[in-house]
Amino acid sequence: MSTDISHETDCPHGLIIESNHNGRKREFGNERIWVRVQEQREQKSPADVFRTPSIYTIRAPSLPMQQSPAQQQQSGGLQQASGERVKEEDGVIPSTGIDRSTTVQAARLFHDATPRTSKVKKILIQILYLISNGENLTSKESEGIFFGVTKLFFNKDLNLHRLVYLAIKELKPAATDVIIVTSSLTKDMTHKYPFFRANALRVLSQVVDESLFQQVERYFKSSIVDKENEVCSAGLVGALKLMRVSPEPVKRWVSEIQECLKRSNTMCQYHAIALLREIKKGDRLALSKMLTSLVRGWIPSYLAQCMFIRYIGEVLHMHTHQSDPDVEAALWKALEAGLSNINERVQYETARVVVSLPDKTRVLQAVEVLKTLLRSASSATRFGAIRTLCKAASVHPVEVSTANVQLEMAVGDTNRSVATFAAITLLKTGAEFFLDRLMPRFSTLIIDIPDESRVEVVQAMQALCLRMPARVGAVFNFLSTCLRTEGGYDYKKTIVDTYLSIIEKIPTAQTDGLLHLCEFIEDCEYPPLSIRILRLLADAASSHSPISKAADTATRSPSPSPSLSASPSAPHFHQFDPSKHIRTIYNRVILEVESVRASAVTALARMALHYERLRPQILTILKRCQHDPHDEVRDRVAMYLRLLEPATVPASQRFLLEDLPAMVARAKAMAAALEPAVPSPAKPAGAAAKPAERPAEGTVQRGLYRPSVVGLVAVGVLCSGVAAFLPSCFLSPVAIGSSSLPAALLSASWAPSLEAAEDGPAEPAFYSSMGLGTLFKRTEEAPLTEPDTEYVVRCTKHIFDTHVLFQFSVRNTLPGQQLRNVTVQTAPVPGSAAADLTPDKVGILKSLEPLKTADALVSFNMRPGSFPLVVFSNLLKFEVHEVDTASGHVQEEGWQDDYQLMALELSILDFVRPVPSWPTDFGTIWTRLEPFARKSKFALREMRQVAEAFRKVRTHLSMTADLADAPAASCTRLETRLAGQMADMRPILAHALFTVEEGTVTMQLEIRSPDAAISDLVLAAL
Amino acid sequence: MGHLFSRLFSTISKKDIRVLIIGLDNAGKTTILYRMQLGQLTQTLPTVGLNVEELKFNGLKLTVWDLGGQATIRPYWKLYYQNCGAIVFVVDSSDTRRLGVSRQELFAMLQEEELQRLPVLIFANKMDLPGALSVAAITEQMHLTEIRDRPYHIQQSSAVDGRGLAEGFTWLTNQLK
Repeated sequence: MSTDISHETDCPHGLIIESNHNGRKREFGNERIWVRVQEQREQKSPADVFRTPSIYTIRAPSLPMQQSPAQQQQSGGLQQASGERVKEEDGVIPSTGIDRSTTVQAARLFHDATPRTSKVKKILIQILYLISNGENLTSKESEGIFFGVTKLFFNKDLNLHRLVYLAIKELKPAATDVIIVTSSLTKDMTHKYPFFRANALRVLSQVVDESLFQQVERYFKSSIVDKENEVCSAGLVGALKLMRVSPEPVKRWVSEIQECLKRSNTMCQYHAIALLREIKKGDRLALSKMLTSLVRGWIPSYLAQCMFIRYIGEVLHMHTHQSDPDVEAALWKALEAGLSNINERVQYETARVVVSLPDKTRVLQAVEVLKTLLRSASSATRFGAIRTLCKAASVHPVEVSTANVQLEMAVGDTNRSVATFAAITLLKTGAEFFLDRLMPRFSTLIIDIPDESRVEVVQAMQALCLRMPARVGAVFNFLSTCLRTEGGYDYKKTIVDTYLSIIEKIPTAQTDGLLHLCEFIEDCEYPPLSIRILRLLADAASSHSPISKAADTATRSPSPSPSLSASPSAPHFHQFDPSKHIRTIYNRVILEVESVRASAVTALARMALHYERLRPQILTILKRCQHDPHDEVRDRVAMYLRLLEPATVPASQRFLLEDLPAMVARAKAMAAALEPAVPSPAKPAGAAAKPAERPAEGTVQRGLYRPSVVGLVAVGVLCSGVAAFLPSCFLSPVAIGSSSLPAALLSASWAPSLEAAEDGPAEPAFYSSMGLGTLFKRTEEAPLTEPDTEYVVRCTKHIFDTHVLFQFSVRNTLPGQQLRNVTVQTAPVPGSAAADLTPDKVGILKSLEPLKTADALVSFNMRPGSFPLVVFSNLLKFEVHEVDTASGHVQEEGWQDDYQLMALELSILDFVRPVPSWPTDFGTIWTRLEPFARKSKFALREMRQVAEAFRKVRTHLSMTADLADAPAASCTRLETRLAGQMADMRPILAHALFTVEEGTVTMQLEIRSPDAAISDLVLAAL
Repeated sequence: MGHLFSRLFSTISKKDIRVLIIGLDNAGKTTILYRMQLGQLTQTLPTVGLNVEELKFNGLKLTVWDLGGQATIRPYWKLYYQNCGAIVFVVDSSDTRRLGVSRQELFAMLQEEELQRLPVLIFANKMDLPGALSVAAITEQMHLTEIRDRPYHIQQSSAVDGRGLAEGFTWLTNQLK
């Protein structure tokens, strides 16, 4: 049995099916191939587990197939590539000589008039072998082979016939191509051998689609009552698959399927239970009825029993108030019986169901059963039991702790997966004395197991340590062993995370923890982790610094401002001795890559600033770093050296410690200044003023970005290198990020959201200068070009009482061009009713620098009270001036150019806006407007959820809804009233009903407005 | 003696000749096939795909491929042309409306590279029905005289009672010998 966690599941299939993967491995050892054709996806379907896998054994050709040199050349690369891939995956190179291109070539033999049967069989097996090994045939190849195979259908060789079935199933022909075999398959359904009838059914259910299903439905129905068990079970499995294609006809066969339960054949029974449950899946009542009837019946197949138990679990999970207590009692009784079943698997399945149920009364019983299963001879059973216990330990620690003795034994299990889970479970449930005994064993265990399992053990260790702070020493010892073992990044990161969170939560552990981490970075191959630890050391230094402590108390006492001494989450360190760590840090400067070196330099400088007695030594060290090969490191060193000059230090310190509130204020001002320019939905600048909200995660990121942020702050905004010493609480939020800030600035354009419009938006400056009147509404920005064109234009429509203003935000993406005199020529499309609009003003954009965005404006006079529904064609006109990208020199000689934009439409919905507050007289207005009501039904095909559909429709209609809260994502029916205001201040009301039908949302919408024509227009606009 | 050898030789070399039966849907292809094989009338369903049967006739062993005639299946016909020895094309002589379509399909098929020079037997089937056209009328309406590059034979037949089938297949097997 496999010992690999990833290949085992805790279901009965996992217990009886070996993965192909492992099967293959073993077979290669014997130089034989077992082409074991069992589809992976079928393994998931419970009903198919019982299928007899068709096993063909062939002796692998001892020599590679004869190939001409040319062919070898052609296929060599491919063969090698696939060989390498297999090597990567399995560590085994198949020496079978089965190669895809040769096989596909050989498959041409199928088209021969009278191909030799033995040869054809061999080729088919090779094809199946390739497919089951994950070789992807192109659709053309598999189509060719498929049609070849259809010609073999009529061969009299029975084994070939079986292979043909498999091949058709594996090749998964396109739906259109499948019809070619339909007749042949239906003919086989009356074959004298039941084996062929069964196989034909299986293949057909695999390839059939809805239209074809009607033609073959009767074969399935009659197969279910076939006296041959083989055929019956094939029919049942087929029906199970067909449920996905077309459930209705299958549901009509319930009585026939129930008959199958009475058969003595375990396979039929098993499949019938699965199918019945699939049919009644959505209906809890019917399902529990079926199950209670089965409780009374007799289920000889243990697999069927496992299924049965599982379904009981499902029903009990769906517990509702209407549940019949008698039914529940019967089901629980069945579970109790399952716990004492003689079959291990049924016992296991029952125990698993019981511990997962919310009802706790029988958990102890289940744990007892799992305890006995831990003594099982089969490692799969032990694994299942331990995994279930481990899962249950989080929910029922007390109950599971009764199994501690057995768990302790399981830590020594020969199966590493079992041992790992036992260890994790014990860490969740174990008492303190257990752990002292077990720690050394864990240390040996951790060496043998894969990284994923190690991560879990380490995480369990963390939880344990926080639960029992007294054991922190033992845990740290264990963790330091872990740090010393070889392991991947995720594993090491988990350990470091664990250290950090323990250090943060258990202050007494800090000194030891820091020493362990220092030891770790002496030999750490992952720069991000080194950077984090260096930062932690620097934080520790600053939080212990005598200067910051004094300042801390000074600043704290007058006002409760946020902690300024260090990042707010920086732990408070006890007995911190920086000199212990300086050696470690300096080693980083010598030995590591540049990102780590830069961090180390920063850490050193921060320490020097805080500890005067160490300053001379550190300065010496820093001076030696001046010749570092990397720019960033040298820059930092230069800056820090300057800051640490005796003359500047007081200033640096003062800046750091005293002026900080002023700094924060300045930062706020800066953020505010950035805000109009950075409209992004994430509002990074807005968040800048809240240092306390610094996310705990992302330390690595911050560590990496720090240099550029330092640069940004120092050069761009504050013009002072001192800023480098700003505590990270200030730096990180401003870290709109080296990457995101420029992008945000460049794409800067001002995008008022709908909500903003409701609250009275901050009006752009040009409003007043243009004399447009009162703003009614501003729409969301809509693109007028593809997003990746040279000139990207987006348009916002501003609707005023007497004007319409189009704001075209033009972005020049060409670095080598300056645009001058940019205008957008906007004209109503001929034929649209533009009588209510007359051109007003045009705002010319004098010049548009490369890679910048600016606005061109066009306004129209509008007849008050009218709703001009016009389509405009737009042409971007401008003068191009070439820019020398190196020198920045702009050529005075330019040329005229223009660029066609997409059309722009004024729709009726542009003249509707949400009401400021919900109208109390909605009902009266609604009744009064009844004569102008218009109704329609929409199928919102792209929506899957009512809540999503509701939000979209509300935004699109731009009306206020009467729902106070956002609807839950899971609701399937939603009725809502909406109210809006027209540009002439008349009301427009709507009533919408969302329902889910067949997976898509449909909406019934009724619009009422003072004018039937408007109601019509609104419906049409949707 | 020489005769005997030649007989022996011919049966060996001409073993398993592949014959395609094609034609529009509802022309009677499947009925012809099973009439020939079983000697009796069978109830058939529209063929979705193909039927294949072996037929011993006139000393030859024929593997007869009966391809479905529905419009959705016709595009797949050409996948089965390879290694084919003879063609049987079935026309429903009572379906005067679709003679044009039938003609198009026939001539399109005769263009195929893989079928060059193969003998074509055309059954004017369903002659028992009242509105059935005569052989001459079908020959004319389908321009069968335009077939020049191969032997062809048009045979009036009725698969329901079996008339004309044996004659047609005798002509075909004689061509193949």
